[in-house]
Parts: sequence; C-alpha cells; structure tokens
Amino acid sequence: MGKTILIVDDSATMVLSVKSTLEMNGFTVVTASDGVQALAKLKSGVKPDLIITDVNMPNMDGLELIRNVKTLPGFRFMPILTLTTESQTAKRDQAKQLGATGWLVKPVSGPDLIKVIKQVVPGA
Amino acid sequence: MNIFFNAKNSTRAIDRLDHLLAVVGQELENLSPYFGVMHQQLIGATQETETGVMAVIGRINAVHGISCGQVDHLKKSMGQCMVLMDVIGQQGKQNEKMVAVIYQEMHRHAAELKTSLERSLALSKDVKELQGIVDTIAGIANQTNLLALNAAIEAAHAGAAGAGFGVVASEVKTLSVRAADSACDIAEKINSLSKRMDADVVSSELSAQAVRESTGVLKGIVQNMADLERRFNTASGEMRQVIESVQTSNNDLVTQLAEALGQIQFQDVVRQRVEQVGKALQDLTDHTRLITGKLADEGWDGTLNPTLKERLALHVGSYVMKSQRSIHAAVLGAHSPDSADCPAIELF
Repeated sequence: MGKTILIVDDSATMVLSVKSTLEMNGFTVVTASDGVQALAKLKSGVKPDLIITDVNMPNMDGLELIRNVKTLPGFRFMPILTLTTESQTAKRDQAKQLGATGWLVKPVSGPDLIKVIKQVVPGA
Repeated sequence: MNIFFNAKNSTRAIDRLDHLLAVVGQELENLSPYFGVMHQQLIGATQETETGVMAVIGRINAVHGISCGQVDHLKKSMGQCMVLMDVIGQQGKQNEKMVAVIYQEMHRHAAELKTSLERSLALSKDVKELQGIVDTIAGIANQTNLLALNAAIEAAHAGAAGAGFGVVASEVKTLSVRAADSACDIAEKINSLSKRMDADVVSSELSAQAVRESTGVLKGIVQNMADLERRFNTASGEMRQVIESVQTSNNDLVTQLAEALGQIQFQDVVRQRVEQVGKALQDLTDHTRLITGKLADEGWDGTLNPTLKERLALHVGSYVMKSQRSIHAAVLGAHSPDSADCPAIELF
C-alpha cells in the first residue's frame, strides 16, 4: 500500500510538480496551500506518513505549522520536511529546533526528493 | 543700476527654480503610475509563466499516463500469453502421451500384421503344395480305374471262374471313380482356398503399407507439434524481453519526468524573485511620494527618513535566496555572506 504525503505550499506550480513526482512513484498525495489549511486537514482526520511544507507562506508559515503539528495528538513523531527557497541558516536552525526532519532548498530534483523521502519514511 | 539688475536676475533665478521644482515634482508624481504599470507587468508575466508551467506539468503527467498505460497493456498481454502458453504446454504433454500410446499401438499392430502376413504366405505355400498331392491322388485314381477296367476284361475272359474277380474289379473301379471325384473336389477347394489366401495376403500387405504410412504421418504430426511449441516458447521469450525493455524504458522515463518536474520548480524561484522586485517597485513608489510631499513642504530641511540607500539596505533582510543576496552584494560591491546559506539537502 502506498504511503500518503501531505504537501503544503502556496505555489500552485510547486504543489503540482511535487504531487506529480510523488504520484509517479506510487505515493498518495494530499495538498494544502498554507499552514492553516494543512492544520485543518490534519485535524479533520488526514493522517499522512510525511509532511512536506514550504516555509514562507501566507496565513500560517511553515515554521508555525511545524510547531502546531508537533502539539497535535499522535503527530509528535510525524516526519516533516521543509521544501523552500529559504536558504538562511537562521530559519533552518529554527525549523530543526521545532522538530523538522530535514531541510530542502528549491529546486530539488525528483529523484533526489524520492531518495530523501525513502530515508525518512519507513517502508516507502 | 547694478542693484536693480541683480534683483531682477535673482527673481528670474527663483522663478526658474520654482519651475524646475514643479517639473521635478510632477515627474516624481508620474513615477508612481510608472512603477505601478511595471509592477503589474511583472505580475502578469509571473502569472503567464505559472499558466505555462502548469500546462507543461499537465503534459508531463499525460506522457506518464500514456507510458504507464502501454506498460499495463503489455503486462496484460504477457499475462494472457503466459496462460495460453501454460495451456498449450499442458495440451502438448497430453498430446505427447496420446501420440506415444498410438505410436506403440501402431507398432504392435504392424508387428502383428507382419507375423500374420508371414503365416499367410507360409500357409498359402503349403496349400499350393497340397495341389501336387491331390494331382498324385488323381493320377493314382485314374491308374486304378484303368487297372479295374483291365481286371474286368480279364474277369470276363475267365467266364464263370472270373465272376467273383469281376465283382472285385467293379468295386475297385467304383472306388477309383470316387477317389478321382474326391481328388477333383479337393483340388477345387484347394484352388478356392488358395485364391482367398492370396487375397488375404494382398489385403494384409495393403494394411501393413497403410500402417507404415500412418506411422510416418504420426511422426510428422509429433515433429510439427514440437516445432510449434518451440516457436511459441521462442516468441514468448522475445515478448518477455520486449516487455522488460519497455518496463525499463518506462522507469527511465519516470526518472526523466521527475527530473523535469524538479527543474520546473524554477518557476516558483523566479516568482519569488519577481515578487521581491515588485515589492521594491512599491518601495520606490512610496519613496517618490515621500519626496513629492517633502518638495511641497516649504519647511522641509532636505532630510529624508528613510533615505533611498536605507531602503535598499532593508531589502537584504527580506531576501530568502542566496542568489538574491549575491546579486545585491555584487551590484553594491559588497561581500556576499555565503556562509549564512545552508546546504540544498540536509537531514537533521
């Protein structure tokens, strides 16, 4: 059975390109355009095996999303990857402190993304 | 005269300065819509790239879908082919067993026919040899008949004394006639039997020939079945190779498409850089409005807060990409803070 991945990004092209890459490789994909929408989906019962989130987004950014997800019941050990244009170490350090699993700077090639996902999601 | 002249010149200079300030003020005011138009142009261009990129991704997905469809179709065909091969294989084994039994039976039948034919030929020969014996018996009967005739004549010459001998001669004649008749009868039967046996021999030979021909045909059928199975196995193997090759190509295609999808992320990178430029244009609009306002203020002492230089410096804090910071530093001749950038992929 394919693993489910939640993609959170305010860029429609990013969402579609990552979604297509993942679906081609057998993953099931759920999408959200910002942290608020992502959090709502998680609270409504969506239980992904991995969350891939952008950092700079309207309404609720990626760092705030990580902070909120980690407090949800059953999501404490949820693997979360950031996929962002943000390359400053300060935000990277903040994400790490909040419990992010990894930090990916756009653009990331499809094969590299799949390789990272297989490293962080058991059985992927 | 000189004082009047200087005052007149000063008035003209002030008028000119006022005029220039008005023109500059107007031009500064016109910068606002100018920047606004450029900002909207950038937004429009970004939207166009987004639409284009979405269409490209759609095409990539369509290509992937077609490729996967072909692989599925081939896999399904291969599955059916394998089932058919199994059926043919099982049927072939069944046929081989059947043919082996038929072949064995035909061999046995041929051997029996051969033995029977040999027996018939030997019997026919023996029967034909009986004809000679019958001829001998017929000859003895004729000679006996002649002897009986002579004895009857001699008995007649003897008169009354030969009457008894005449009776015996008559009986012998009767016996010789019966023997001759029997010999003739036996000869006819032997002749008839011989003809029937000859017919049987011919028939047996024809049967043996038919069995030999059938055995040859059966051998041909067995050979054809083996050839068919071999050709089918070869074709199946080739088809399997084709499917494996298509599967490999499809995997390569997925890798290539995934690479392309990754490269398409440039659009989001470009969008964010363009949005940064858009913010800068908005910043410039604010700045020109500030200056315009200040120019209209007679009490303005010439100071600006923030200055254009300060505004430009503030952009550094809002950059998210290394490339943005590098360009900023390169244009201003400053050092790019590369050490502040993290690796492209890092797992914690």
